[in-house]
Amino acid sequence: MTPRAAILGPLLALLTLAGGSSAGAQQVTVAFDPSGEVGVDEVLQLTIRIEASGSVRVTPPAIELDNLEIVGGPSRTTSVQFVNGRRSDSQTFVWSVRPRALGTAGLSEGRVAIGSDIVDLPQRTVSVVENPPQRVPRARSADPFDRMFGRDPFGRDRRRRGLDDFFNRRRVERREPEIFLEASLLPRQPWVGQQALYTLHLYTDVGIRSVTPSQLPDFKGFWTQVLPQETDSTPERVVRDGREIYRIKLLQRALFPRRAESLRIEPVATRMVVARQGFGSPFEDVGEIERRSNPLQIEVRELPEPAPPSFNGAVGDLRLEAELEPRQLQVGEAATLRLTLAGRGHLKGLLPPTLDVPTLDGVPAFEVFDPQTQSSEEVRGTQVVGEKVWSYVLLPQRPGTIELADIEIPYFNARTSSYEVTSVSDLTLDVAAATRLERAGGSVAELHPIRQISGAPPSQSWPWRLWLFASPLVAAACLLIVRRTTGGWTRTDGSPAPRRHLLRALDDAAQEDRASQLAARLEAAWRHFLEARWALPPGLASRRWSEELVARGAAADAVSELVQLQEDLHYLRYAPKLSETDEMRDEVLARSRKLARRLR
Amino acid sequence: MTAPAENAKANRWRSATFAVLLAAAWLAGVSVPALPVGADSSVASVTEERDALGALAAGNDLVEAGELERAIEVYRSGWSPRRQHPTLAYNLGTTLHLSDRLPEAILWYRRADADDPWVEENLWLARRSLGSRRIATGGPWAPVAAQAGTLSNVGIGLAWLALLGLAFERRLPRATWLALALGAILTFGAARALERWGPRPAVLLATCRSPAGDLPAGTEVEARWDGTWRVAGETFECPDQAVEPIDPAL
Repeated sequence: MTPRAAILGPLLALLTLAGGSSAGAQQVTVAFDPSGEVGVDEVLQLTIRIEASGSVRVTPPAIELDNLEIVGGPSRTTSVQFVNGRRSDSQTFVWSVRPRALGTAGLSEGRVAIGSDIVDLPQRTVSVVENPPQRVPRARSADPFDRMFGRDPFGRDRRRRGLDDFFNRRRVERREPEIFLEASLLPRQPWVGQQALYTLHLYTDVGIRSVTPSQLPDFKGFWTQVLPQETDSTPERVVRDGREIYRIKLLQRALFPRRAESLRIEPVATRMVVARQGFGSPFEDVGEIERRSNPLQIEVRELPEPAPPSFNGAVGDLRLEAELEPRQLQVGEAATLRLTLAGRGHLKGLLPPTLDVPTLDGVPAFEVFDPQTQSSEEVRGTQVVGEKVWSYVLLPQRPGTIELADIEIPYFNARTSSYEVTSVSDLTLDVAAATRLERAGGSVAELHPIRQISGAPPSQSWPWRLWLFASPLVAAACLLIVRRTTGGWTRTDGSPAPRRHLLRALDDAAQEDRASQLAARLEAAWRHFLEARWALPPGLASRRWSEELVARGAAADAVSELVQLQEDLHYLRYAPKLSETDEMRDEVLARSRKLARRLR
Repeated sequence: MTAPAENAKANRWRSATFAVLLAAAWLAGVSVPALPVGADSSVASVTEERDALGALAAGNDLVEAGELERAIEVYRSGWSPRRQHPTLAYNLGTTLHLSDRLPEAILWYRRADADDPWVEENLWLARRSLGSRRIATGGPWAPVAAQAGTLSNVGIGLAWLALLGLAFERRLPRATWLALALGAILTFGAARALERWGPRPAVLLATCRSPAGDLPAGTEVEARWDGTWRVAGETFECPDQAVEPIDPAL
């Protein structure tokens, strides 16, 4: 096993333990080591790693190689992890392969059976070139004695190494391995909400069998996102303090500070099983050591002021998109506005933007309900990319063209240290009047069509009422005028109206010179009138006039006056001729005329 | 022929002639101002009816052809406030509804036959589509105005009672008759005045604004005319063209 492979397996276990698996039910990764450009005689390692949730049976992959020959393998490594009570298995198959000729080489096809599933392996290629990049000397090309001084911690072929150890063990010197952990954070002074990358590196110059974390920081004050292990994560050789040493990325987290404050990230403590050659022994000397990383002190910066008015805390590099469906609908139907805010940054905690509801004819054009929210995040490289989707239901209230106001979301771009705005516009709804709606009882009302010509009569309200009202009044007016003009109704027997007859009789009587005759004629005229107009019996004694007339509805004062007139006429008729009779004569005539109007 | 008989005959002729002249004058006074110049009442009615039916047929054809705007114009041309054709009003309302002109559609549905179930359903749809509301408050005179029809009927009844009393009850005191006649005139006149100047059902065709808020187009209100339209019971001042009474013939 190569040094990289020797370290990689345990580290995968560590990463899983430290961050929790983000894989789904199963995940297959394929990698060449080295990758990119390789030489013709260079031996590569083809690693196929299968991760699956639970206990799953995995058969060795069937592979087809292009321009590669297998020089070893496959070796199989099985790892079982229990995280939060869940079992996760991983199996790693490693082949040693060698290019046959210049050009492109790689895994052209392959399949693996994971439980009952058959999974196709992704293709991987390398370029075979004459002059490959210079690499850290691999085990086979290294000085075979280097390992005696601990310079080749990852060993080579175990059988040969055992023999070498056996024959050369006296030359082996024991030395303390150089192993340490280093934690780093970039940037060291992040803005509130800005992603900072926390990385834990293991530096070692010996082989590591396993790494088990005994203490992990809680990252208090941060929202954290575990960054999955890179598929081609391999130890890299770096120069540190003048010495070459292997560096392995053990752990990476994306950290998003929640508020502006001074934060401390506690160190990581691990136990490691280290393998090195024992003195005078052909076998490896395995020991366990503990290491702690350095703590980190971080100053989180407050976002600059002033923030835009509608700034809701979004930090990153974001883009807003909108979908409005359907854009043509009827009143009573709903449209869905789907706003998608995506980009680099942690978006899960963002509040939805408030929609400005336009008015149509002075009333809100639509009713908008609280949006449904969906959030998702993925990691691209070391960058957390978030997506926040708000789905608003819009219920138009009136027909017409509704133009939604531009929707803007300001955010703080940490790269430019400035506020920027992402927006969407041109959101228009064409709302038609409803022609079909459901009633409260569940029945459906539909717009009825126009009617064809029908015999329904036009309605008229006022003319007939006016006629009905005016007709009797006009008729009554005519009646009154006729009565006034003619002096009364003509009787049915053809005789003149009583009042008119009375008046004529009064006129005729006025021609009489003798007072007694005048009084007699007046008395007779009145008797005739009372008989004709009031239906008094002929010859009724004058003393009973009052009683009868009142009984027939005549005005009492007029009747009283008539009785007085009758007494005066009686006096005038039988009184001696005196000078005063002339005056009485004129008086009774005038009183008779007046009474004729009152008793008509 | 005796003198009294000759007098009676002459009286009858004079009375009849006078009554005929009065009736003719009254007919002219009532009918002529309401007619188009140069037309008599019967001709006008027939013409209006013919116009309404012609407009209905032409408008229907245009609706079938999908020319809604022209159909609306044709329907309008055939409608007369004095002879309100319910089918014409319904078709006009439906065409306006199809054209998304819902405030006007509500107005014309209200002018159509209220007992027609199609009118009722289409009006319901228009109201729901518009989210419109109905403001029933018509100010302090609203309860009285609501009884304007009853008042006018009472006035008509009193007028006939006065006539009958005058004609057949000779002994009816003059004061009683005058009270009947005056009561008839006042009651009927009050009913007309209420319907003319009191709160009347109307539909807003444009938004009426007030400091407290707006009344949107399509709102059904009780409006009153005092030189400008006022939505009774409210403080809204509406442009003249914003308020359209349901019955413009009042």
